[in-house]
Amino acid sequence: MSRRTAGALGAVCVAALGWLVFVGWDYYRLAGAERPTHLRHALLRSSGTVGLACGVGAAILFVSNLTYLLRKRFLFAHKLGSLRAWMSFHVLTGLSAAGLVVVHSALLVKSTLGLLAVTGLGIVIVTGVIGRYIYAHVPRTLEGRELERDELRRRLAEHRTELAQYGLDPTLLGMPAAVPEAKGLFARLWGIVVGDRALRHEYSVLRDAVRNRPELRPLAGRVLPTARRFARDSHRLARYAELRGLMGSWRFLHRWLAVAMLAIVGLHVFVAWRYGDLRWPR
Amino acid sequence: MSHGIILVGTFALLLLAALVAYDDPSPGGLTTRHGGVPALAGRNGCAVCHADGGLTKGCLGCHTEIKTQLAKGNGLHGTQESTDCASCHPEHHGDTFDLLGGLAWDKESFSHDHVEFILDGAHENASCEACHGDKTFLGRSQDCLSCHEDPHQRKGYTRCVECHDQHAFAPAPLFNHDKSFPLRGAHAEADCGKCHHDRPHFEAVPGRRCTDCHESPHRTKWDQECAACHRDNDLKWNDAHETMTPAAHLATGFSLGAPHARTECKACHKPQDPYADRFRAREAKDCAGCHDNPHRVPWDQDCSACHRVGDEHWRAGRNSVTGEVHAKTGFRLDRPHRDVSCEACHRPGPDYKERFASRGADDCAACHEDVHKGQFAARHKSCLECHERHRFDPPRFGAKEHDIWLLSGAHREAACDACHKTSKKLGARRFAGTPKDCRTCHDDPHKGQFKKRSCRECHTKHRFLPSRIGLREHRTFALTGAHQAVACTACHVEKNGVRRFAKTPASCKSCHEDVHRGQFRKELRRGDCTACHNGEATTFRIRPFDHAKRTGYELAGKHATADCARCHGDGRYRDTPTDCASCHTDVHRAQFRQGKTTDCARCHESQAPDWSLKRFDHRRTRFPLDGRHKDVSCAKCHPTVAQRDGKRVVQYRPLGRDCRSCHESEKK
Repeated sequence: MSRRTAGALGAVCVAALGWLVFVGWDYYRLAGAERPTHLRHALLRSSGTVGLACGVGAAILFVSNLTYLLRKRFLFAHKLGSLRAWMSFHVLTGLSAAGLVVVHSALLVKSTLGLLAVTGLGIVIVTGVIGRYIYAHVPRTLEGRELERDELRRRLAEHRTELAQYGLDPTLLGMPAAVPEAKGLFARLWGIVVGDRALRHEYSVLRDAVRNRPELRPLAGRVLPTARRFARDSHRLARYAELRGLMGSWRFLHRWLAVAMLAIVGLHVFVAWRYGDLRWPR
Repeated sequence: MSHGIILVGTFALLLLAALVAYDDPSPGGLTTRHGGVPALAGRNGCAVCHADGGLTKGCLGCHTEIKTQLAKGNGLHGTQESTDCASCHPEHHGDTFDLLGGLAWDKESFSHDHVEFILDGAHENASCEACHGDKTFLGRSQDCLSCHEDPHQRKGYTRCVECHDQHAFAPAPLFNHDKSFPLRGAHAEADCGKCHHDRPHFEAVPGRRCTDCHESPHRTKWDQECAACHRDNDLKWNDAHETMTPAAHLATGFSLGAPHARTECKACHKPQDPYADRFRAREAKDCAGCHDNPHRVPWDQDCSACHRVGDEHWRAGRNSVTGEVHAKTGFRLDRPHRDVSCEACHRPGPDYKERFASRGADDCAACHEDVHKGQFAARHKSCLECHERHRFDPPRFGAKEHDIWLLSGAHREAACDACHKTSKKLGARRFAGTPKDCRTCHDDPHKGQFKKRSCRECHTKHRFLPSRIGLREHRTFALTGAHQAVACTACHVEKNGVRRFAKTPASCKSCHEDVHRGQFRKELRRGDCTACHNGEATTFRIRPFDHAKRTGYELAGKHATADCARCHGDGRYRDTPTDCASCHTDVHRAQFRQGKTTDCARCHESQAPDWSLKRFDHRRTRFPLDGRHKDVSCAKCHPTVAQRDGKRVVQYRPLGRDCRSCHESEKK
């Protein structure tokens, strides 16, 4: 799934959810005790025609969201598409499920179990968003596979050779020194933020070097992207162990929080199935 | 953070969530009514309502009175087609939600006809709470004493309606003294307290015999009723026929017909006998009291069964059994039996016992065929429960007795055979097992539009029209504004002879004519007329309409207060020209026309209230004003002149710029 396709699908989902909320706004803005007398109550309540459909849809999306793990786990699954595309699918289904849960909740969380499920979902989404931020910093191939340290080093050498051929100052193209690893999950996360700022500085040095050389100005369109890649890979190589470690820990956290959230959702579904008056359509 | 900490933290959170959910799995707070019930509190309370057989079963587990209504088909709940309690009484919407609110019922428009207790008289104006208190309005007992105190203090007596109606307790228009004791003669004149003096609540005076109230003035005990000699319509007891006449003797129960009329008194009342024996009560039918039995076989009936007292000879009565005589056998020959021949019942045959078998007067089936083919064999013991003794039709079974399916409203007036038709299978008119569904008897005037719904959702059992559907019940299309005053038939029109209710289009244009003749077709497609008009108002007035935003032409200055029709007078709203000349007369008589149009805005501020010349700058003309010209009035240079058609106009152009064009006259 290309980024554009995922974006388009995401936009459609957001528009559909927005439309639903717009149509039902005069219902959603009512207090819980006033809702049963509203004309669209049978449609929009959590167990209503739309509400229940959104709840079931969210549950299906939760399950389909987990197929990303299968794709990662099994080697043969590489025939099913690149990891990068599966990550986009993972993000899309996760966010869409959250949107459906919002409609399913009818913008009113009344039960303790529902509140726990929504809170759990919120935590998983936040950790997912942060995880996606970390994911973007871990060096990867185009297919999304994580690069080993030697592979990254070779790629960095190729960038340096190319930049040297353009006549850039060799002193600017030195191999990076390893940054001391930060201790702790959040210290490492903060290290990424700090590293991003350093990366921008390093790139600006290279960019100024290119712009200060009149003979390189016509080639800036080719030189600067390579300079950017060099700076980025250089920075990642310096923090390689820290990034891989952080990714692993964060993935672990995200995964187990998701397991906890799914367990609460399962309990919520069981209670609704056992005690609720589930009929569709109403 | 190690993976171990993450795992432990996650499981701790999960455990916490499970504990919280286990403690309170409710999807929302209960209403005040249910919240106060200890059995429904906590996690164990769920299964009380959400029983294994479903929510409705759970509800009825506690609300047994409603269960009874549903089983009997009476009360408000018994008339409902749906038995889904939660559809009217949803729960888990918090303690401020009213379980008996607008979703459950509309107290103001509630028709008491639903519950088979017609409110009449004083009940019609009584408040609901007067009878139902502040409880649930569930069925009250229809026993008067459940609400009213018993002024008669008769325990167990509940048939108040036999004397009283619903208008007032007193007077009791239905009270009839004749039912208990006919008041005639002196009794009619007597004060009530004379008989009821120790019974302030008019309890029945025990006994009906004269001697129960009056002492006997006779010297000897008299076993017969006083009425043998005294009539109850006499004003005094001694108005009686003290002298024994045949008629008075007859009143003792012993007629002095032939041959007794010719017999001397002493032949029966022997002077030598003591008074008690002399006038001992002999019954007229007790022939054996004086006469020997001439019959050869014992005869259980009295002699008068065949012999008339008035006959000259006892043999004269033989074979001449009259109706009166027949009645003495215990079987009165009333109509129609008195008109049939004896042989119709006593068929000639050799067996005397069979021919004159003792048949009970109530045993109709002994002689008559059961035209109902046994439909009532189990339910009714005798034909006389429904039919008069003297006729089969019409029966005395009326609407009041039709308790298996209470007849009310129009059903009270309908003929029996309208519902009870002859069954070919049964070979008789079907009464038992007659279906109760409306469609069994009535044609569907809606021609299947409400096939899946019950008639009683919209109509009462009492009448078809008006229906129960009012403004509040019209939920498929909220009736607001002017729609509240529109007759149903204005929108629900007839099509192919059937008035359409289902799938009536909700769009404005389906009922209303487009007075704009298609000018706003595009807006109509987007959002119906309510894009501009307020559909909820009593008039079809325009909503606050942003003329600038919607049309691109801002209404400012005098335009802001101008009547719409001044510009849209011909009903044209779309593509109304916005140039000034399309509405305003050109007072300058085309002096500033460029091509075919005059752009007023070049000089005038069109939206200014005073049509000011803010935009006009004389310096931009061919004659900038300087020097003394700055203080000269406009009219000095721009005179009012008459044009060819005689119309006068201030001349702005053409105008000479040389001095003489203005100053020449001064020189002269």
